[in-house]
Amino acid sequence: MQIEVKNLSYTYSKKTPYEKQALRDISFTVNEGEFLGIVGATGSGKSTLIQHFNGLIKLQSGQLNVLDIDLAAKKVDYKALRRGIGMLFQYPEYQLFADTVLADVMFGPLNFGMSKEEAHSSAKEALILAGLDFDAVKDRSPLEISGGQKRRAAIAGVLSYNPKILILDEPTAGLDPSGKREMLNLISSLRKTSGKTVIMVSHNMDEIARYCERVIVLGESELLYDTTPAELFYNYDIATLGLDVPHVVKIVKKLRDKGIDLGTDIVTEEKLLERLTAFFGKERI
Amino acid sequence: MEKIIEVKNAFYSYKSEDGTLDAVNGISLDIERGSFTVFLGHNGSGKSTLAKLLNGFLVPDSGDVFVDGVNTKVEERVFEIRSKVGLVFQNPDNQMVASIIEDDIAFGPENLGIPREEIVERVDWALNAVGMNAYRTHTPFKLSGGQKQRIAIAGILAMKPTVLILDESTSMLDPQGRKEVLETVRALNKEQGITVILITHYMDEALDADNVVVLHEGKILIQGTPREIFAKKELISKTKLELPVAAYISYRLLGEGYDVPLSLIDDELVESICRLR
Repeated sequence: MQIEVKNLSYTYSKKTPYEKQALRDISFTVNEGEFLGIVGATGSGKSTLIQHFNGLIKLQSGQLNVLDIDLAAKKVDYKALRRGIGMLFQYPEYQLFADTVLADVMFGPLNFGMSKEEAHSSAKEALILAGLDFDAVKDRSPLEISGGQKRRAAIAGVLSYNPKILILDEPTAGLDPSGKREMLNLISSLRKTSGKTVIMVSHNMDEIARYCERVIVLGESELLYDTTPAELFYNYDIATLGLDVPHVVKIVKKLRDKGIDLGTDIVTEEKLLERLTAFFGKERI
Repeated sequence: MEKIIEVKNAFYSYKSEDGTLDAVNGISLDIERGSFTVFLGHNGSGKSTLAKLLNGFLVPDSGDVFVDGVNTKVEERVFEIRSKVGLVFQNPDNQMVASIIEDDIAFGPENLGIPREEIVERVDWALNAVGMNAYRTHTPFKLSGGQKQRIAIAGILAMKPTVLILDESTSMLDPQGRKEVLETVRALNKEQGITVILITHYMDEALDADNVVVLHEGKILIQGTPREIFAKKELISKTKLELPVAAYISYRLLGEGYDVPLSLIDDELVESICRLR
């Protein structure tokens, strides 16, 4: 188990008039190689939760163990923790800062103590892994490349120090449909080829349905469900939490109401088409 | 119908040391007063540049843009044009000016010289329209991304624009927030008669528009009602945009030999499938 969260609670601006409980008694674990989705309406505590994982937010109460590092301990080796976790915030392209793409991506490895040569070769590898043409982008300013390229460069910055866990906060926000697809395929293939654990925060339930094996749902600062996407969309009323149900699921539910029962495990378009053709197969003209 | 905005063969390119980037490549377009128009296009299709041409934020290299009959090239009237055409951007963080929300909303009307009593009314109305009145005395910096965007929209609304342009303004909102903002924008269009131009790459946001304009490589690829647009599957696929799920499923079923007409929304698809029995 790579992450163990036990009875974690967090309150912002404690003992001030602005006091606000962001997380209440959260417990769950994340296993190596998992693709976990975290969903919840705006303000449900998702960002607060993931910022605990690399120590950006100091543990207030409860237990948290990440990559065998106890975050409740008096002395925490934050450097080791952060090297193990690649955290990509919303709109990561706004955080590119160096003069060239290469220098930007090398920043992490250099900070983690790699030599210049090592940092250069890891950065190169990371840029290629992120799907960028290394020679074409390395000497350009991160401000000059396109939006999609910027986001890839930001991902490369995280991949460059080879973290064990990738935590992505809305990795496709603001991208167009083909950009979204490319980004998710990239993340999914990184996970398959390198066995990285991926934790993805998303509002896009179609993405959660298509890519995640497991999903946890936060609502009003609490962990409400820890389940599979299909179970979540078919067995729980998530609309009241301000969450959307994927179109495919809406269509399947409406068909069931009209007497066409295709099952309760369909979350993708391909599966829906497969079931529909199986259902109507014989009556086909 | 009366035209509120007219674009006549407009061209615009960005110039830098690396050369020029042709963003808008000869676009002619009419926006009717009171209409709801959606601009669809992938990143780099020219839709944001076109939006900036519509309120005089950018002026075309060649061709003309008229707002309520006034050419955006007439420098003396640029403030008049900009108060008529309000532009809400993608990133709300770049649109906050004050440390208290009601001051932020009041900033626009204050600059327009609106009397104080009316400013108070407008701030009230604008905050209610985006469902954020409970936060009026808070600071915007502590809000979530979605809430900030609703404040940014309220800030534009307070200037009572004739035309409201939303440039991917819902892309950071959660589904609930997105729905609220879209409902707000639709109500502003239907009830207050505000002309709305919604720029998006969510196809489903285009479904109840009066007019959909699909942009590709700085040109208008197709223009028409949602049904006319989505019937042109080959053209849509060229733009790298995605069909709404119901439309996609209906096309695939048709391809498999089932008698399913093009369906834009879920209910329509469900009915067509039920008829197969």
